[in-house]
Amino acid sequence: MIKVENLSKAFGPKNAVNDVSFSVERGEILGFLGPNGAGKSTTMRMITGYIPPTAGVVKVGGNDVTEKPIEAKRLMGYLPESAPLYTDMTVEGFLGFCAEVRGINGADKAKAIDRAIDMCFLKSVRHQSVDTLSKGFRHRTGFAQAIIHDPDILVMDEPTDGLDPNQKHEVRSLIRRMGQSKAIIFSTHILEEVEAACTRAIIIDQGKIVANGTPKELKAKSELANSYVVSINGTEASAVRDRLGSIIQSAKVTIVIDKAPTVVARVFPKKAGADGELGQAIFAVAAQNNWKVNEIKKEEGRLDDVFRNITLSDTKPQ
Amino acid sequence: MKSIWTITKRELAGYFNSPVAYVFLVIFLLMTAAFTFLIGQFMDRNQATLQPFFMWHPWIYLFLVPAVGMRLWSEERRQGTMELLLTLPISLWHCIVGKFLASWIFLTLALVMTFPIWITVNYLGDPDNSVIVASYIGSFFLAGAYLSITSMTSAFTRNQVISFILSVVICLFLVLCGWPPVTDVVETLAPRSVVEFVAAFSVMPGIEQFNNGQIDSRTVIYFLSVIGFPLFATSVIIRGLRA
Amino acid sequence: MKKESKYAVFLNSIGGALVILLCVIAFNIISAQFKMKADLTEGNLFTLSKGSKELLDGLAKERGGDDESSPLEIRFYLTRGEKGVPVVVNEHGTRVADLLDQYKAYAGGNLELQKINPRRDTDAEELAVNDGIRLLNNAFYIGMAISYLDNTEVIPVLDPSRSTNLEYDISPLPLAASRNTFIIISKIREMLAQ
Repeated sequence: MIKVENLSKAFGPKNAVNDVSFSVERGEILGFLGPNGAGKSTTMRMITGYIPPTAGVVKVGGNDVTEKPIEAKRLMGYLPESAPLYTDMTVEGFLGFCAEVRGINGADKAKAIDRAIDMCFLKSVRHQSVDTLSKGFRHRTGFAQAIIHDPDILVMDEPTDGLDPNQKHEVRSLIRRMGQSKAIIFSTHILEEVEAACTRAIIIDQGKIVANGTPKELKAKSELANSYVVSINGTEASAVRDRLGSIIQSAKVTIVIDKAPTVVARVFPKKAGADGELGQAIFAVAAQNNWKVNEIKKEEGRLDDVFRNITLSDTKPQ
Repeated sequence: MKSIWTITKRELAGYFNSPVAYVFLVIFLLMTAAFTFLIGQFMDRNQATLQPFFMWHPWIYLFLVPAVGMRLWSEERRQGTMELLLTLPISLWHCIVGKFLASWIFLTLALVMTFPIWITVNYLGDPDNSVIVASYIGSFFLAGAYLSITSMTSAFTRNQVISFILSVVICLFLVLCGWPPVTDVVETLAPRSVVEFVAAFSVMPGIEQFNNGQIDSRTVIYFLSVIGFPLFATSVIIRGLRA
Repeated sequence: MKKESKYAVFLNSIGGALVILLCVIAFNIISAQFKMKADLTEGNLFTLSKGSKELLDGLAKERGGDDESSPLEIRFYLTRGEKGVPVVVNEHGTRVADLLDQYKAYAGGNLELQKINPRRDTDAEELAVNDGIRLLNNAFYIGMAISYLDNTEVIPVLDPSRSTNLEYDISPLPLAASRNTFIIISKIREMLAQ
């Protein structure tokens, strides 16, 4: 439903978005990850038709956004990063305006407004003027505006920005629910959000896509993936290191915590397929040495690790 | 078509939700009355004509119309609602026309509210009412012209004050380049044909015609041009800002 | 890979805007040739009446397209830019000047129109005095002289009121101005009759 092909955007000499291609189908929730200034917002603005691309094509529901902007915009709901609203209107008035512009009138309009207000928990501020709303309510009003016409496609730029944990949770479950029947793309900094709500994620850095896959696939790219974390009582760190290090399947052992009486070690497998055997081997070694095993856990990999490794943020030494 | 009206409705509501609109109406009515009775010597003239009322409009509008129109696009940019407006399924042109119409309707309302003076002059004497109708039409077009220019300048900048000043300067030029006291002076410096050509860009001759009860096709086309072109320029500016 | 068509891109640039502006100006210039006018004044002040047109047609016939013969001359005097000229006088003078422009436009080469500004102590003032225009309020002139062949008719004051000491009645302006038109026409008629 969203198809982005070789999309590029240059602001003067600088390439904000560089040859980006991806697609989002119905039922998919795509998370758009990346450091600040990576090109996330610019890409979304091109998808929604706010900025014209320098090169490439964006097709929304089969409509080229540059050639058929009205048809494309009709199919989308958009929540920009700043969640802009008309501050001189009430929440209800504002939603009514958005509905009317989208061609929803009369009884349908009233129904759509009610629905959006319910879904976004705006009942208590329905008649309040927008400029008196708190940040959380403002964001939710922006969200309501994006879904008022029940679009098939949702584009949201940092939809949980500035919300408290409860509100974040609500927004994420809303996204998950809607994602079942719609195509959704949203951008975020918060990695746990990706795991919580996305079916797929793209990491973009300096205008280019550097990773594209399900959260699981991405995590697997982590160096820590498939390693075992073992928490042991009744021995010393050096012994742990030696014994575990001598396991055939282990490539490396690092001591994570060494605080009497507990030693926590991470054992990296030599090759990818061997991790099952590694686990059993660790148990065996522990039993042999009469160690008390508190906990043994296989690491799935951490997204922030992946993120930090593949993006060149300016905090990293070159 | 309907989407234009939706935009117009919203913008008009925005005007009347703020006290500024009412302040403006009062100031406009006070100023026109002051200029007519005090400076234009309406009562002293003893003539049943509203010339002393209409002759001030190009000058009064010079400051009041930009004041009304300066927020048209500056506000959208400042608030960030440009991003909302331009991602809605409505063409940029519809937005421009819709907002312009709202302001024009508001200004026309102010103009209509001057009707007491029309009643007064009919009570005091027997004026040529069709000339007065023509003068009102001229004033209506004049407001539209200044407003269109203000729409253009407000798209140019986030800052309402800059938009206001730019608009006043441009409109002032359009007034002065055809105003006899100025053209008489310039004629001593430049060849007559040049002065006449520049004067053709001015609103003054056109307004004078309307105030004399003449409705001339050339003048109507002139005003439609001065209204239409800046609106087109507005769209060029807005598109250019996002390119 | 199609983006906005080339025309649309150009149209929306500064260059395109300038081109459009030139087109608009050109359109204005061209359409100015095909003027259509509606005159809403009572008495059609600003459109030449049938009578006036017939008069000027008669003038044209008399001259018979002979460029050598002298045309009808109108010297219109209105003091501008002096203190002490009431606004009303200025307006009235402008209206008469406009009417004379209409005559000129209609009559073409058959009518020579001079608009003179006789400020105090200038050569122009001498012309005015020579023609017999009357000084008003010790400050200004508003009048005209019409010459044809050897005859000259003078309207020393284009004064809309009846009295000459500038008491303006509550009289509707159209009637007053048309009175002047009437005077002008009759003067011209008298002259052509000689």
